[in-house]
Amino acid sequence: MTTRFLRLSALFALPALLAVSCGDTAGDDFDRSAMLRSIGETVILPTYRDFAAGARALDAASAAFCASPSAETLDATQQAFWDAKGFLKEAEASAYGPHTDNPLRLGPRVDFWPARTDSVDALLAAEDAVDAEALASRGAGEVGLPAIGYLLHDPTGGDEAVLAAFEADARRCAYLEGLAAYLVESADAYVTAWDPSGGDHLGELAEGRGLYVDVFRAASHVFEQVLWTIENVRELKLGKPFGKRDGGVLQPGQLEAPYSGRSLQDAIDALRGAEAVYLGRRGEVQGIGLRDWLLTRRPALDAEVQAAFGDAYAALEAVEGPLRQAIESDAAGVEDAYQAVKELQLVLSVDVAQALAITVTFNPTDGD
Amino acid sequence: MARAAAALALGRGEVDAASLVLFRIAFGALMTANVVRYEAMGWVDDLFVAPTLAFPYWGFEWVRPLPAPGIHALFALVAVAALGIALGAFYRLSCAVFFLAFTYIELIDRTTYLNHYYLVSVLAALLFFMPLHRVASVDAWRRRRRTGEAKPLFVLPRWPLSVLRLQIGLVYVFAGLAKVHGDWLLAAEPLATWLPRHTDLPLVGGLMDERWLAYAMSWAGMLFDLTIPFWLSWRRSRAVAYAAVLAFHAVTGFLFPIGIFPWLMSAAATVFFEPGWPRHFARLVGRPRTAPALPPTPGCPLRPLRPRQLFARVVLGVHFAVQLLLPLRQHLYPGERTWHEQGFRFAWNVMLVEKTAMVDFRVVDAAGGETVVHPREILTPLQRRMMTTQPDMILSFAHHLRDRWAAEGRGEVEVYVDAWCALNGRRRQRFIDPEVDLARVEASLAPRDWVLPLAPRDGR
Repeated sequence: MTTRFLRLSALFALPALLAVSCGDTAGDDFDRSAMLRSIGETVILPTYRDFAAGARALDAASAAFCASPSAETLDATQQAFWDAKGFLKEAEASAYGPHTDNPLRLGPRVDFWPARTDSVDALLAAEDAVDAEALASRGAGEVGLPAIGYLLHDPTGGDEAVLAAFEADARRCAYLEGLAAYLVESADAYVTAWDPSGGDHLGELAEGRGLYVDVFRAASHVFEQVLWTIENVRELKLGKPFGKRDGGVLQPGQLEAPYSGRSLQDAIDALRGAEAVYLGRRGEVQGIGLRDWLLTRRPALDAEVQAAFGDAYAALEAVEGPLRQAIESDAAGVEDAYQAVKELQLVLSVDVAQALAITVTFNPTDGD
Repeated sequence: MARAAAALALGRGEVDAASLVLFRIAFGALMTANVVRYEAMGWVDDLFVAPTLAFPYWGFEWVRPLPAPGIHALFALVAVAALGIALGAFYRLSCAVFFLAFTYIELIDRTTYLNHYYLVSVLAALLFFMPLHRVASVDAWRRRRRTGEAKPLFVLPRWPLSVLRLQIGLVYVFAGLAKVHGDWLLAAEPLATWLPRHTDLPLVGGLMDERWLAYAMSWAGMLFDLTIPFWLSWRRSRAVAYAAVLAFHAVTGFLFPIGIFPWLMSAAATVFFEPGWPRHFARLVGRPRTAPALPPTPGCPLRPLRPRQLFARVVLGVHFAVQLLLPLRQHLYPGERTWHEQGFRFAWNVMLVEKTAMVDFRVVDAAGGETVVHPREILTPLQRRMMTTQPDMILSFAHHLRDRWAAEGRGEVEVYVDAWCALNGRRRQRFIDPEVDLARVEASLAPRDWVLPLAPRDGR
């Protein structure tokens, strides 16, 4: 009897002993809902507010340029475009909710790339209205920042050719102003949709309501979008024009921003947005990010993630741009950048996803 | 006396039909509900219509996906057949149709493999041979109307009960044996990874990232699976054991997305009860039904089996030999079975693996041109996740690329992968040998030397 009791005791004591000896990740009490709210308040909403402000600046600059076309006003408009696009690229890491879902589905209205230049030229050649109201019902290829970038830049003829084109066709300015005004409307719609005083998508995310089902799945969604952003940088922004999908044959037509020469900066800005969500920090404002969650699960990984972000920036900044030239003249640099982004993707999608128990799929069907 | 006991053990004789009838009804009703659930959740489209590429099983490549109307019709057929089983209407036909249609659906794509759907197919096949429609069924009612026979005794042959007990027992015991594994017992993985997903739960959320809980649940789960058939079979422990079954499946069903599995197993565990157990509940609700007077158990000498009975015995013998050997085949392969997953399916390896992975495919043409193929362009998110973590699916995808290049007239190609995987809380490791041209590797049962061995677990 005693022997049997001892055996049974040993059997049940073993797990307890193991638990005590391996208890290094226990009991973190991490509040994922607070993390999501913080990411929304610290990163997502401020980014969209900056984007809305950038869109307004672009709208004002476009109006000034059309009122008085000159090299200076063109330069100011191009700068306003550059700045506004930077904010939108940062927002790629939070491109869900109003960005992808009906009824707003704002993504294709502001950033359908590569620019569909045929569509833009066709609308210019037509007599259809091009004010903001009319553009709201036009196709995605005829609106958004890619179309504005195409109108404002000419990598072959330079600014002189851009000015000449605007002077030769007054409709071009009307279209530009219509695009900028419609961009302001779209950017404002993002802010309203996310703002707790408006559509409160932020609250929906933080509390795991609606499409998110619960807080864990909402947190997984945020993480997966970070991954998706990094994957897009590697596969779409770098790999596709670099010919990675086409047997090494370069595909300059697949560059994200060939007219403005912003393709590399687009990639960097998208990574900055992903990093902001990871760190929970935008500019000088520090909140709670995915990093804080990771620190409760596998703290050693954080240094690797941050190093991988750093390596990716360094490799991208080392490319002798613009990317439309670099894919030919600096193939080694582009390859290095591609590999550095892949390393970042690897550590996040395999190691961090494992540590956070995030099943990287949007399909919630049964398991095992 | 000894002969009679032997007859009982072999499943000869008859028993109160209550338990078996209830099992038939529960199985059919659950399967009907499951089809409704799949349609309501949009999973039929997600899993069987959306994919542009399927991963059929080795040897079953002839099983092809159906167009949308076809697959929806097949699901409807499954529901109708399941209802037929529950009601005992055209029972044999319903069983056959259910088994064939359900198994066809399961064979379309390895992505959708689930242990409990394999169990459903196995049970459907067994039900086909069991005469569970002889009583309390539409078929029995139709027969009486047609022939004017008197209402038959509420009894059924004993052997279906014995067969179901053995089948369900095997599932539990093999699921328990699979958990006698270093990751499960010594590292509490993958539960230590999964449970912290639930820290947002009210009341118990704070416990979910406590490591002791993962260990407690791992060990309890292993002991539960290994021993529960025996506790359920022993009259004195049965009530407590079944309470444990309900608690176990309620907890796992609540914490993990395992669909109908908890319901199916909670219903299936009742086969271990006395054959007339539902009568206790009938009495509790004030509708007592008297147990039928059982005909005498065949005495000695035992009558020789008729050819049909003999055939059924042989089929069942073969079935259980397969059921014993299939789960054991994984141990014939060298290396860590949760890593290479050879012989892993159809072996009751339930909830043993959490893998995250990333795989790039590199297609090299005859001119040396290299194309990197990202699976997300071709596969659904679920297919991508499953493919990147399972070597046989990685190989199938490589073959798909090889065949696609050939079909497009782009000549012979080599296919290499850059595959990384993390298993059960470990850091990532290279998964597949990047030097092996997978276009030249044929799918087979031979050990996969192109899957790199799993390195020992390091620190966290």
